[in-house]
Amino acid sequence: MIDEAVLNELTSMLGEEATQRMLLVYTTEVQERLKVLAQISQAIKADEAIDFAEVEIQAHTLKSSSASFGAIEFSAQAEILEHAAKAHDAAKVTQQLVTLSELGVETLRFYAERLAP
Amino acid sequence: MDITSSFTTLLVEDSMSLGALYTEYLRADGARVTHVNHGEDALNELKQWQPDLLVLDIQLPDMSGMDILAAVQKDYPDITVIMITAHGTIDIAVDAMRSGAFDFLVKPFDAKRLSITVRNALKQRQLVNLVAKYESSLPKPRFMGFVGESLAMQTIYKTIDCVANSKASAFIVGESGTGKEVCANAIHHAGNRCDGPFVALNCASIPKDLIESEIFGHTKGAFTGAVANRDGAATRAHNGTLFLDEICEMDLELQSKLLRFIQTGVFQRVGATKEEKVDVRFVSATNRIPWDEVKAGRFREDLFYRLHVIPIELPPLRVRGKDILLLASSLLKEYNKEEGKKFKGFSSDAKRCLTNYAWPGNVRQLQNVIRQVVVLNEGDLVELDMLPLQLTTAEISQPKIESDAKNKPTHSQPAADNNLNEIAESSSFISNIEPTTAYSSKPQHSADSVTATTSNDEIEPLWLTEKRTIESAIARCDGNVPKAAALLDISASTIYRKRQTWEELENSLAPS
Repeated sequence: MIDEAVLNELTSMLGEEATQRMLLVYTTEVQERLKVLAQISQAIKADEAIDFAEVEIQAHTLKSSSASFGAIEFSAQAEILEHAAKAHDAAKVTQQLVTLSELGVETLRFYAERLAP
Repeated sequence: MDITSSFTTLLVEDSMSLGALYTEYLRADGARVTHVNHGEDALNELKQWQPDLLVLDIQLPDMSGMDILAAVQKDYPDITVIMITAHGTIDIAVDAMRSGAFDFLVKPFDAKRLSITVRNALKQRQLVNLVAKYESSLPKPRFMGFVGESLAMQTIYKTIDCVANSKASAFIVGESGTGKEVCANAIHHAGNRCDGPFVALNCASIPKDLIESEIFGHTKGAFTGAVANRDGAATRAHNGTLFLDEICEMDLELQSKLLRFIQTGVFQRVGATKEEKVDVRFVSATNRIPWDEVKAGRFREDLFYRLHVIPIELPPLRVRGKDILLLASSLLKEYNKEEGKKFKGFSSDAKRCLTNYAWPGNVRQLQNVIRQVVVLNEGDLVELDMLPLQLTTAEISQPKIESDAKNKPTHSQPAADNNLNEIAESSSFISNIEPTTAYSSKPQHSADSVTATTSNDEIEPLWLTEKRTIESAIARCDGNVPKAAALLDISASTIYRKRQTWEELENSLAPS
């Protein structure tokens, strides 16, 4: 789920303290963006029109940032969501929002442990 | 010197975590980084300051990075741009390179990859700056309508650059045909008034009675023929430049009105009671020596000091050395296009002749000569015999003029007549010119030559000299009288009339 080599590379480049700081910014951002996607999931459940553009933006950013911080599986799932949103595939977007949300919880848990003193 | 020792970077990345990460990477390389998340914020930052490097994400929440790239290329082309792209947008990144981005990075990338790209970008930037610095140190062959790379003209270009943004009055002096109006235009267009109007007024070409109205305008009924209100040059030049050519020809009475206008920016139209105020930059010009005009009482001293704040003295063509050929080539190209001719250049004899001629009419005369050559001839090369006799005979009869400033008729030199053109053609000027070895040693055997060293008994009637010149021209044109007439700058009928007169004179002189 997590590419440790990426995290080790970050640590060697930035040092432990700066890496911790970066990971904190990353996890905060993931939480914020997952909240936005959760809102969209709620809207879908309420039979509202899917905001594909917003889903695409959020998924795109999660894909890029997650890859940079070693969350490769989360990044891959975000990419699938990005493509589904780009294709306006409502069923796939609905399904992938759930997948990404669940994986997001796991990913954040990993980083929380990594960040724990 | 470490090229990355200190450089500024604007990072445009919508992800907070990536923004923070890239900022760390860039700081480690010596950058002072400003990070923004949105395209609009980036454009606002760029209005305030311009970084050395712009690291720009293609996909932003409010606009495409491509739009920002286009704006940067248009308004801030000196900024080096590195695009950041996700895996799916590489095609766009390639387009970005075509649109002027230096390089692109595909996410995810590590610190080393970013560092290499940044170093390459800074190296390239350093090289571009070096080339620009080198280029700016080279003589400019062209500048705002001028052609010429002589030291004299480089000084003029620098002066124009320096004075362009000032509101100080500029006073251009120089012989006729040296480009006084081109200079005035250059001052206007190089400066911050370039978006305003440039209004030129030739004080010598407007009748004395009308010039006040031309400058200040008039109200309806102000004088006979004033059937409507009319704006003058002063009004039209508001927020721009008013160029007063041949200023020394202005009537003394009007000079006092102009002085008040220059001092206050306030004037009254002819026939008006109300005053108007405008914001005008004054550029004046004359082919006379203005201080001599002041001394002679023809030009007000107070007006002289108002206008003569930044004097610019345009050099005559004869002291501009290689500029003569540079200008001739440029004009040849221009007239070729206009006249549908195919001249590629000048023969070495023609070049020598053009370079050695004194050009009393300066660039304007050179324009006429090249136009004449292009219109009347065909071929690849402009040959010596295609040049007007005026030039070729002068080459034989006149000594070569030194192309340096010491022969220049400067404003401090005493002169009987203060018209610079007349100085150029006067004997006092010619006596300043030293013959070169090449010309003083040349045997003057030509039938066309008019030598300056003949003894009294060798002096012949003027008509005979004229006849020989004209007949020689006709012979050189293979008997083509119209062509010879054109080259001599007279009409063919003049030649026929003169031939008639010569026949009569010869008959009258012939022993009966």
